[in-house]
Amino acid sequence: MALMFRALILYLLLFINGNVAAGDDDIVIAANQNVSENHISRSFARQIFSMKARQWPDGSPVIVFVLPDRSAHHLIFVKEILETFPYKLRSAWDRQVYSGTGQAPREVATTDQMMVNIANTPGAIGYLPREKIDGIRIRLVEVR
Amino acid sequence: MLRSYVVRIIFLFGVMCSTPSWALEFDDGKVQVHGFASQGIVSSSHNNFYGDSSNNISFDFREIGINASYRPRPDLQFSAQVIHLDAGDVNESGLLLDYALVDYTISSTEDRQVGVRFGRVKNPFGLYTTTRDVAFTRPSIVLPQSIYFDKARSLALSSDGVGVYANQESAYGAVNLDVVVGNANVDRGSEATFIRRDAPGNMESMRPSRLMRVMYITPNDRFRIAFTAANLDLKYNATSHEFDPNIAVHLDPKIISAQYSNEKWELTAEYSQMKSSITSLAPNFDNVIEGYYVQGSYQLTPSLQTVLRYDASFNNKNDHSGKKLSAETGLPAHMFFAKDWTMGLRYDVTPTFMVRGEWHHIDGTGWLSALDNANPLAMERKWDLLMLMGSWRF
Repeated sequence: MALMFRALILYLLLFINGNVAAGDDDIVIAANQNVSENHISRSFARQIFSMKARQWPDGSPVIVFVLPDRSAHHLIFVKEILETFPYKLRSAWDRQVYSGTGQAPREVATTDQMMVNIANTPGAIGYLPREKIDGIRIRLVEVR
Repeated sequence: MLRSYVVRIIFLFGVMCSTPSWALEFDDGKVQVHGFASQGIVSSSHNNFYGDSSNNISFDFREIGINASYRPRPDLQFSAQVIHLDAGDVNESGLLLDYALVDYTISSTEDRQVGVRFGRVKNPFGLYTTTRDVAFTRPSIVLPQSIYFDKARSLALSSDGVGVYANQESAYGAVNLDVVVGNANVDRGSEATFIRRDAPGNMESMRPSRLMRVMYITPNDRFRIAFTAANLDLKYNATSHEFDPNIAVHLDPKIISAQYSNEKWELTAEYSQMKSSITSLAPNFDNVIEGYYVQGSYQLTPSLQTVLRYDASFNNKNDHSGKKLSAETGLPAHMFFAKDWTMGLRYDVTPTFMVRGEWHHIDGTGWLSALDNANPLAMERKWDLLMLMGSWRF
């Protein structure tokens, strides 16, 4: 019992750590340099990140990268850019993953990993603090 | 002894899965493997639900599943899931093929997706059916039985056939349409629901069932409303002379679903009517089953959620007290309705491991299975049900 309690405390500490990592960063949608869209609609962004739209308008595959559900960047992105909630996205993914009708996005642990993956994966889309967008290998995609 | 064993397993899962993401990916994420494992503990003051729970503790409640999907191109996906369920005497034992399908997207633009699925396809029945065996996707340990009856769970679960889907986005919101045509899979629990026992023969689809669901979602993604309608025709194949061989069951369930989601709370309600006609050598039996629930959930902290629900079901819409059906059948009136107050708590220990507890206070035995409760006269009208569950997924 004492062991279980200690484990619980450990988990809680882990979460708190994950949540203080980011402050009031300006989060934007980021894409691989081969993505030709400069801006997309909010509804298309929501369809992409809920894994319902799997193709760019030219037919090439969309590869979605996300941070863990409880990371501060994810929370800001989902609430402010997609204007929905992390649990709504999670349930959209789960409904598809466990009924065979879709797949989950690829989860990365940190913004650094997000940068590496977006830069190196054609068709990739994710989100990053604005200052991490180099405009060369990682492009900004505006939501209108 | 058994209890400490189960607690240890659940704890072990939790430790194993404290890393946030545990999904298996191959071929640059084109192949994904996911799964889930849940263990429940059930105890009731009277009546058996999921095993010998009456004044006892039943561990006879497990849900285990693993799936794989392969998306070689953005418009093509192959996927299959195998599950093992254990819920008292109601479910089939062994492994079940939950779904196995090919999904092809015919057209995909910025505001529209249209596609088709072939194989064993999950039926999009109401809000929760497609993933009803995955504890993480349910609002509570057991789904509201008025609509998602566990005693005949497979009826609405999947079809062997074809599914067509379409999603249209616009400034006024999104409209999703799903149509599934195929043979419904019928299990022992469903069979026992209609003929009140597990007879030697088996029930099967008489002809392909038809299911349609249309859903509207507001542009802000907060409110969704859906209408589901289906037609199922089943027949009983007797293998001996001891049972009426000509029994046929026709069901046409209709469900209206609504859900409002906010950051901290979610309000959900569904209402269903199902006309059931049973034809046999005995006098034909026509009936409209009615059910509804209202449910609210509230996120107390990021990892702690409470749920409160009132769920009511009536075997005959015009006989809420069950008295008429009781007079016709000689069975106790409380077997023809159930009114269930549920309070639950969910604690997400990690993103992939959660524990849950819930308490039900129930008036009526309408959704209890004859397989778990062989003697109808031994059932009590008012009863309490306490459930605990640990669930892990990847």
